Amino acid sequence: MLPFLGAALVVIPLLWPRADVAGLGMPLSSAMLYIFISWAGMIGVSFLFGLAARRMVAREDASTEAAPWRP
Amino acid sequence: MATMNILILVCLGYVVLLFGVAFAADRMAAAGRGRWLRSPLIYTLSLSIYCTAWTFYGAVGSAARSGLEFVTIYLGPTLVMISWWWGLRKLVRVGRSQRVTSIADLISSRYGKSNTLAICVTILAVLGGTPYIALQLQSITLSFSIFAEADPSGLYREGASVFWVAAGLAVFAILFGTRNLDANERHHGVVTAIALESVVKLFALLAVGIFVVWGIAGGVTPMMERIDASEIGRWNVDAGRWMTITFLSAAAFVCLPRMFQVMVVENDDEAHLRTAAWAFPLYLLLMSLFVVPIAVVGLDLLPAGSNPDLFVLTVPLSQGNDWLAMLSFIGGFSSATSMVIVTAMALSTMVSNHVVMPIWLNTRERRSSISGDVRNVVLMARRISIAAIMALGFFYYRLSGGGAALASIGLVAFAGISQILPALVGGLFWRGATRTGALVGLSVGFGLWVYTLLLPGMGGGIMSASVIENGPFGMGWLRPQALFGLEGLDPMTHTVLWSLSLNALAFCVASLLSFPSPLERLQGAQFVNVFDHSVAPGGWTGSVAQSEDLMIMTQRILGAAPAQEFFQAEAERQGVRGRLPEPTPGFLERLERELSGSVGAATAHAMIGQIVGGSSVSVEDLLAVADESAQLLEYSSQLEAKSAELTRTARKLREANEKLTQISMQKDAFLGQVSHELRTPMTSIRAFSEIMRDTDGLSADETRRYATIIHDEALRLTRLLDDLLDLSVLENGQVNLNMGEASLRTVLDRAVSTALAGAERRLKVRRSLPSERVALHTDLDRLGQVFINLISNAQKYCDAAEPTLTISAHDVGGQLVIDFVDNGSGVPADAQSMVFEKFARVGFDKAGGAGLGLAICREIMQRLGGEIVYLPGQGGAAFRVSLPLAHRQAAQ
Amino acid sequence: MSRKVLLIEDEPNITEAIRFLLTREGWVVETHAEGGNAVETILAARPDLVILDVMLPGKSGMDVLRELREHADMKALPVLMLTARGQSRDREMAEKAGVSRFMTKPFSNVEVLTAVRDLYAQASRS
Repeated sequence: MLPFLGAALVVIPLLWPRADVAGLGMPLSSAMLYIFISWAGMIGVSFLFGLAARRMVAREDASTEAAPWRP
Repeated sequence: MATMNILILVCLGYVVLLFGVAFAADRMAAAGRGRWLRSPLIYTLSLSIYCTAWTFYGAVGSAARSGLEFVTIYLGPTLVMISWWWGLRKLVRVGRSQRVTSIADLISSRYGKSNTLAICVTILAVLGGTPYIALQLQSITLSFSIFAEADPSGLYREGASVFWVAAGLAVFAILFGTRNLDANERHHGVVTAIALESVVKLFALLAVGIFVVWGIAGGVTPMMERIDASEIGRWNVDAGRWMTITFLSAAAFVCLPRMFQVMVVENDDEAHLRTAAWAFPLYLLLMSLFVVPIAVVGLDLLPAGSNPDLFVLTVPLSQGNDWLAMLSFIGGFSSATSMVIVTAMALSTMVSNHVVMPIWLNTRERRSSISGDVRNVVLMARRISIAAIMALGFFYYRLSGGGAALASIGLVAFAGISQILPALVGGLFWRGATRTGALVGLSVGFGLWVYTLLLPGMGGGIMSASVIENGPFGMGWLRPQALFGLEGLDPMTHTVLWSLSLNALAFCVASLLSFPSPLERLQGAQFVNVFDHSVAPGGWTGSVAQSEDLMIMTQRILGAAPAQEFFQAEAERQGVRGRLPEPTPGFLERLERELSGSVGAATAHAMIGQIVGGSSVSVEDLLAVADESAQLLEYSSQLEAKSAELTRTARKLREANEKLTQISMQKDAFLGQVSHELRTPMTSIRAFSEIMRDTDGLSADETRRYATIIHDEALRLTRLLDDLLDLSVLENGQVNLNMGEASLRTVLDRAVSTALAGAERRLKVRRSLPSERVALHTDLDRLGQVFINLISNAQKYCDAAEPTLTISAHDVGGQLVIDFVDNGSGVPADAQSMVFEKFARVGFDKAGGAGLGLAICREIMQRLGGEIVYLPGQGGAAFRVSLPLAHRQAAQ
Repeated sequence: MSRKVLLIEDEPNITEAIRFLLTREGWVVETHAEGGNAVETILAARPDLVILDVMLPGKSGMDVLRELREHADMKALPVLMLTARGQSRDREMAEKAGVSRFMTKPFSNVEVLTAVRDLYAQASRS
């Protein structure tokens, strides 16, 4: 799910009107705001996902005793 | 104004600091301390060598030229980290389980350890890496020149400074990158230094950004207004480029040799990826946060025509903030240095493993190839490669003149290196991918990249303008920047579109058309299903392999001690006694993986192949390949384990059998001896008794004499039987010790008188009475028996004219030691080891018993907790009886 | 011409017994007590018959016999072998080495005398 969300967020700016075509496009400051906020959002989601994954792995480790692979 | 001198001093100081950090981290890692060196944080920070001087300076320049397009460079990796996390995890696990040393190694390893492929990837990486290194050198030089312009002394010479920068970076990379050979012993020093550098550059960029937003613009809102009012204040991004560059940077993030080095080779723990998945995008976000403000302010403040690539430096300088400029200079400097060092390390590993080593191996004779220390050759090859790569970068910089904008060189390199992507991703996720496919795909992509992007970009000298305008030989559809008439695209988009899509297409088609070799299939299965079975079926049949040859080779690569340790561990794992394991496929597989950590998969494969020889794929492997289901692979590896077990069992049985045979032979020999000893006296007894019975007219003298012989021989038989019984009781451990206390002197007195009673020959016994005043707590009769035996032996066998036996007692190392030394000719050297064996008799004199006396003595002394040994070189026959101190009590 | 026997035996009492028996039969008995230079002794003494013990100091009776048979003029010399080890393997080895008669100790005097007479008769017939 995350890959699609990320790709969608990154592609959206392409739908905005471009300055050279529409004469007066999306202001750069708004574009920046959009990009950085969505970026931060992705980081946040990834962080939460990491936490969840860690908890899941921890549970797996506890239940299966030995991890399947060790370095 | 900051003078050049201060700048140079700061630079040198910074480099010294880096050296210090790298050295300290190496030391700490070697001492086993410094767990934080292996923390996810360090890992994440080391990933940030992605941000080179190009991103540090060039991003602002790019923003000043084309607005927000620069973020794509950061968005690509962000998307990879966040959404393709599982793919990276697979990459890291494959890299670690196969002990991969570089991206070329990974590709070659996946496609049947093909060195051709490795060389292709290496060439591609070097071609893509050289301009990149040149770019870093250029950025350092440019930033130097900014300060130099301001410096009135005018001491600065551009060429020299580039040279020294390049040389210094080469030295650093050689010092810390080629210290240890095994790629699995990670370069903690370098990684730590890189982590420090990434903190420095982030800090510098943030400092400049904060200065610009709050110092110059006066806060966030005025800044935003200023942005919108600027000449780049409108969304003006080419959709094709936007997607292309995002994709390209994502691909490069995975394929760049330096990224592969820090992400896979230097990875300590897979779990670190989980942290990096959000922390690294965060780092990228912070890096790009202030890029636009700096660009906008730079465009506002600085005179038209000033280089936007250097706004990070020139904006603070124009505001008179020298120290901030200095800081940002250090930031740029560190971005450049860290990138160059890691790239040089990664490329040198590839060059030495895939180009130098195979050539070196080929120039040697087969089999006898392993002469000389391979270890040193590898290290030397790496060092020279680093120097050569730096030199290449330097000359590229000098030749290109540093003209083009920073960002475009970087993108060209990105596009080149991305050609690896189809082979890499296909190799990881598609078992049908073959070596031929990878080769064809790579060549197609590489060729297109050179033709459509690299050559046209290098200016008129190499590709004439007419070719670019009209295509080669006037064939319009082959125009480098408009292939097949696809016009109107940005050149970059055009190249990436064509090269990557044709690359992928060629890769797929060639893979489908070609048939993979068994080894390729095995490797493919291992890569694609790395999570299912990290322990893989082997590719070697060890029937002809010589463990010893392998050992010699391994020692030369890994060093003596680690190699011996590895072989010992393998031997133990197989349950084999001794130091050399059997060359089972499993062992060879592990050995190859161990070696590939040092010299790369293809080279390791070739080296083992030289020794093992012949076919590298066994019937079992073919069977395993025939049915590709994981179950069968597992089943076959179970079979393999079973067969190995059977071999071991057979070997144990053989050993047991040998031992039994030996015991049986010993028993036969013993029975033969006993038979001989019994039959010999019986022969005499029978012969003389028959003579006395059958012969008339024997004289009285003869009768007495023959009766005496019969009597003596009967006594001899009795003694023999006594001795045999005695020995059997002692050997079975059924003897009860009858402990008593007496002084040594008493025991010796009794023994001497018993042994010499009725002897025909006089034996003089010399004793030192004071030393015999030792109290004994032991079985006195048994000890006495030993003494009697020794004394009567001397009496019988001492061949001196005046036989003398010297008995002396000492305290040696906490043991009571009693020596019996006579003045005869002693026991011949070759018989000394035999004297305590049963029926071992020395000399021809058979006056004594059956040759069991000393054997009995040895058994007795063992029961008493001491020992009896023959002392050579004492002049005559010399025996030493020792008793432990525990049996001794205070002198009387 | 007197008949000469060479007795190679390291056990003095057995030597004495055999010497006693054969002397009374009219043999000239020469003795030798070890294996080391037994072959040379035989070659020098040129006996009509050899009585050879197996377990000799220096060199085993088997080896002495084997070496002896390598000499062309010693192929037909009757050799009576005595052993106290009493293992069947020894008999096979001795036969391979070219023994004329093999006896296990202890033997009866009559057996020895009969064997010596037979061997001598065979040798003088051929």
